[in-house]
Amino acid sequence: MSAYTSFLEQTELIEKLLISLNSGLILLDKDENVIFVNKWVIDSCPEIDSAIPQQKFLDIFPELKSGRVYEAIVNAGINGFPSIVSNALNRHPFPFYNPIKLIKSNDLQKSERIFQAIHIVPIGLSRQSNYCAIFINDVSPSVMREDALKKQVEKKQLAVRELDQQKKLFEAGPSVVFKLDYRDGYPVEYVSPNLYEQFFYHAEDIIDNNFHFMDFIHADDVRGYQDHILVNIETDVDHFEQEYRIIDGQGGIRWVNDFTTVIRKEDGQISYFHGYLIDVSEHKLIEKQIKKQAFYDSLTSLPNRRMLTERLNQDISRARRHKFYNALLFMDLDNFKYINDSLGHGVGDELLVEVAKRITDRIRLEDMAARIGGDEFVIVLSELDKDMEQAAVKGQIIADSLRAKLSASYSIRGNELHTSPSIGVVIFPRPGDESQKIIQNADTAMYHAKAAGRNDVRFFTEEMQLAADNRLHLEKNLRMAVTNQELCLVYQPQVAKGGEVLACESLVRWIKDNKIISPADFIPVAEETGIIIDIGEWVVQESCRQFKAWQQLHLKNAIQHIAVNISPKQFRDSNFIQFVENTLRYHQMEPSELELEITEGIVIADVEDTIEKMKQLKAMGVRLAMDDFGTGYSSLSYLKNLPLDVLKIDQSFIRDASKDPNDKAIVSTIISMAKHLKMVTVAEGIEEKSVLNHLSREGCSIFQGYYISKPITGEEFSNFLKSWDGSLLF
Amino acid sequence: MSEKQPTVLIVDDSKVSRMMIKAQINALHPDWNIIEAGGGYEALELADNSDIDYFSVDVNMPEMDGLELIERLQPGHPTKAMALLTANIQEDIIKKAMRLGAACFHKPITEEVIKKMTDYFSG
Amino acid sequence: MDNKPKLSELEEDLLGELFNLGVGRAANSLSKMVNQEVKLSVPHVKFVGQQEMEDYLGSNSQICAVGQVMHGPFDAQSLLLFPEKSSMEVVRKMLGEHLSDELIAEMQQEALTEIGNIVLNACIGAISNSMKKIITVELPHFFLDTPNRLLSDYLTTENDVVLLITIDMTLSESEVTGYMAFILGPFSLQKLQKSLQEILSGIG
Repeated sequence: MSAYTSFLEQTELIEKLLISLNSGLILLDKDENVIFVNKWVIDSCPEIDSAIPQQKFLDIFPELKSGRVYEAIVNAGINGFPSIVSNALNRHPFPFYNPIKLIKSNDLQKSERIFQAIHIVPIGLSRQSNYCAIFINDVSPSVMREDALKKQVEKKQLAVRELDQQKKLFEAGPSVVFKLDYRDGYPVEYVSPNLYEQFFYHAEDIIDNNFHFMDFIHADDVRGYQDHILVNIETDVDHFEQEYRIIDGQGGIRWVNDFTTVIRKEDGQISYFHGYLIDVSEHKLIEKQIKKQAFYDSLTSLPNRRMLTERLNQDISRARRHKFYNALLFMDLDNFKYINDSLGHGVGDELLVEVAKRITDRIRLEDMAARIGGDEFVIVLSELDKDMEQAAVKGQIIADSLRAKLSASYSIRGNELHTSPSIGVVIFPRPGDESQKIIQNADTAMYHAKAAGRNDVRFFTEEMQLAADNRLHLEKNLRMAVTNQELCLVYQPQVAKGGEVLACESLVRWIKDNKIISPADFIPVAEETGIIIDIGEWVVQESCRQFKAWQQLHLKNAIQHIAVNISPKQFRDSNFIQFVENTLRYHQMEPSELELEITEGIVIADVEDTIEKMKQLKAMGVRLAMDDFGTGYSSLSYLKNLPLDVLKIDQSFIRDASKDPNDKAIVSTIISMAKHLKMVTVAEGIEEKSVLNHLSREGCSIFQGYYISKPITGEEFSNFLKSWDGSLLF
Repeated sequence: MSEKQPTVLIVDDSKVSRMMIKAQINALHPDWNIIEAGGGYEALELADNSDIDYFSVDVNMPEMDGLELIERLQPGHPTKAMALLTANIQEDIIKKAMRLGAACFHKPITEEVIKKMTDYFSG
Repeated sequence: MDNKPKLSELEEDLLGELFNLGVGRAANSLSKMVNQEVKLSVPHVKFVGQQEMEDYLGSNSQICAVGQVMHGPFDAQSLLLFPEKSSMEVVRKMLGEHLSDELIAEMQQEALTEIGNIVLNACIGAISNSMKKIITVELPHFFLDTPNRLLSDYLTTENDVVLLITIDMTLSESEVTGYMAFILGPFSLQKLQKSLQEILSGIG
């Protein structure tokens, strides 16, 4: 038996042992021929068939040529040193697989190889080892846990990569990520590169120079920013949000929404801030616009009623706290409706815009002007004075100047327009005042401004309040007065120089519940509310009827005409001329038997229109008289254009005409002027004989007053006419 | 033909190595002059003061490694042949040596290796 | 008794040169294996006593050691030693940064054993080659222990000496210092010396 054979026998024995140990054995001779492989190797390797005598190691395992295993084999041959090839550093040198898996499939992946721990041991007695044994152990089972751990690691890696990706995505967007050191001013430790794109600062600059975050915050918001942080930190809130302004790299102001997270160390101490910013400037702008719409009038850009109410409430509280008085002006434009109707809404709107502008130009910064309706404006004047009276004075001044400013002519789309405001003023706050009440009161005051002839300023007082209440009451009754036949006329004779009764003036009286209500009390209301049309018509009608009735009596002192007062509204009415014509015809009166008295005020309101109407009436043959002459603020130049027959000198001049040199002079002037204009003068309110004489001497033609007769009923007038003796006059 | 004998500078911190290299060179080229330096600085000084034709430089030296020495020698001796001896032949050393215009030879110092080196010197 | 060995300067020089050769070759192998640049250099070779050894290694910290017994012209217990932290670092660099600590710990022993095997084989091989004598080496073993306990296992007599070789390892931008130690009995030392002298005379 050769040494070779006994060796093989021995290896068979060894092999049996090896199988039970689940290990592989490859035996090489010194020329690197594979002289033996054990069953384990054959079962585990698809490339080997059982008996492979005399095949070179590298022929069987060519891929191992440049690997550690072959290096160790060579080393073993040279030095005779054993080597280990660890599974740690060399996972799967040999193409060995789990035998069971191999049975199932011949074509397995490299990754399915078993994990191998390899010992390379030269065997032999001398340095020239005859053999080299390669022991292979399958260490896969212990590697399964490794795999699980590996999976864990991979998962972690994936998570890290994902996070990284997310971070990159995030930082590519509009959110600017930052990391701030928790120190004074919050030095910036990190800021994402998109900082430049968003806010025009270079991220590197900021980081390199360790800029402080607070330096970028708008001065007005710095305090708020700091406070917000402190509050949150104190209450252990570690995520918070806030909005503030920053200054960007171009000097622009930008609103940002900031989401910050506080990162703490293990001991709870704050380590740093981590967060991101988003520019919300545009969003803020939209917010602003929406707010604007809700609180501002779209045409004039003035605050609207809603905002006014809020402001007013604030003002009331503030005024009560600081104990000073404010004023509220309620204003509307006197003939806006007319302009709107005649020239169109386009012009009307532009006019409103101009009015709004003039108002805002005039009022102070602390005041507020609001448009609350069509042509209605409310102005709140803040903090006028601590003394109510003084506040009233100041309010008056401002209101007056507003009135003047708004009365100046407007040039709208080539039209020269005039409008004027009626302004009601309320001083507030008084006990119990609240916003709606104040506005209401101011409205009432304005009413009075209108009643007083418009283009005026009127104050609201308690008396006014009462009067307002009364007035409402009055108004109600007045509407029914005509239908309820509560009105009646009285007549005051007008006597000529020679003593004959020339005419009479009809005056309206209202008798309600057995009480006589003076015209001074109800005519303004009637005028304001338009009831005057009905009343006026009745007056004209009744006057004509009465005149005619007297005529039928064929009295010896028959009058030539009857004078009827016409109110401004009545005169303005587009039907007026027609009405006069109809009435005359109905009562079969001569036009010259009717004298219409209109006040100076009517003329002033609209000269053109008045003249036109007067001409028409004149053409008809109706007599025209101007009442209360001298009391209006008019220029005398138009007088020559008016087709008037009569000038009635207001009684205020007459009363003292004989004594007061001024009145004397005025009366004189009027009379002479009238003469020149071929007008007749009537002196009203003569109460004394001396006055009568004086005026007569001055050249006055007609006389009216208590000295002659007080106003009397129709029947009484008939009697008067019967018994009148003109010679007793002087 | 009387040519000047070339002078070789052997730089190695190991005296034994120097001895071995010297012995091998002598065996192959008895007429060559051989001077020795134990480190980089000594070598630079010798190079400045003497007329040296060939340089045999060990890579692994404590004061200054062989690559650095060669880099420093180059400017003063642009055309001279320089050889690096190293026990650790790694790609990056070879690359660096090539960039510097020097050749690399593998320790241990054997007759073969030294022959290759001297052949390189003689061109 | 004075334990200091009496190798001459030249003898020590030669020894150093031999180890240089050895680690150089080992670095080559390691580089190829882990596909990274691995540099190994030997700055120091010196003989030390147990105390000094502990000074180098730190007496209380754990060290990883891979040992191979060698027989030949002289007998010695050869060891490759890394302080535990360093060894973790070495393994981590070799296996890959991305692996978890648990995985690294599991494979640490295997990896270090192979590394030790490679380095020791290369050094012993270099010695064997230059001595032109046969040296046999046994399979490597792994230890994790304090230097104190480790050395007391090996340093059986007072006269035993330790040849300590400092190795600087650079891989993937980290620098690790490890040690190789040859523990020799006094007779072995003499035999070693003799062998060295033979080599030196061969150069002449």
